[in-house]
Amino acid sequence: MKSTKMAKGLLLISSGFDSPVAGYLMLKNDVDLIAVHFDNRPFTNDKPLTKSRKLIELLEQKFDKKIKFYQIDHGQNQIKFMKNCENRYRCLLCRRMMFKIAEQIAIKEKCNFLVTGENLAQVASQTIFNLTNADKAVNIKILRPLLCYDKLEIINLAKDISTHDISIEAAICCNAVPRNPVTRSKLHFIKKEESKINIKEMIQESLDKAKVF
Amino acid sequence: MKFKIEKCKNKDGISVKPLTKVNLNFKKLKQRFEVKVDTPIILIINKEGEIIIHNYGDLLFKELKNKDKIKVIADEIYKNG
Repeated sequence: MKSTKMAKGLLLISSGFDSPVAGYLMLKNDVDLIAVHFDNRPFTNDKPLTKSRKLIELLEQKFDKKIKFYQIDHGQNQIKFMKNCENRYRCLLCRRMMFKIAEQIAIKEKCNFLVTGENLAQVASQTIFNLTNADKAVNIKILRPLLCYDKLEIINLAKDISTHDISIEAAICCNAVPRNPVTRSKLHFIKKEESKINIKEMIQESLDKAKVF
Repeated sequence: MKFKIEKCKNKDGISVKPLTKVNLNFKKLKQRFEVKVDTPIILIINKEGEIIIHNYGDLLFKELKNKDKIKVIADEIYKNG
């Protein structure tokens, strides 16, 4: 008997290969999902959003269940980080902010945990040091079903479950990424950077402007 | 100045990368172009569609696809910044 029967997760979906596969693996294990997409316009275009919605629709069809979809305007948060915070820490500040907003949605929607497509050391922001410091932004559990997969395994799985052809569609990837993101982040420095902006207000504004589908 | 023009990583925009080290002067660019987003690191301007300008010189044309027009605008940005 599966022990995940009554579990509900909040999936952070980005439109790339990883997060839809992570969502698929959770759904396959009888976990109910709600999805949240962080819209990085104007540092991208509308394609990541439309792709994310298509990916969620595909998962809905596959598992014959409705997945509520939250759209968060994250571009305005990125602008505040750029104006006020240390450039190299921007990816991590962004990730921690996404987790903090997602945590509030999870509480509202009675989700037991967050689900991400994060993958150990796949990109500079996903080192063990950065993932650890990202986790410390929230109290809710973060599940990463793809943590130790390699990229080829993820892409092959995406092909098997038909998310690949949507994920590969043309888009503009997030241009808010710094040229040299920090890989060995220090928590005290992160907190110092976060103290330069009004995090609580940013979270509330993001939630107030959220669109739900 | 020499630069390369190519499709961006995820293929939906056109990326321009200078072949030499560049540090753009945003103050000058702001006087020349219509600015949509103004930060110390990234400027977004409107010139035949949105263009994301990084202070280290990389440009991303979000809508414009015509490479001849892109070359002219990129030249104008580098000349004035």
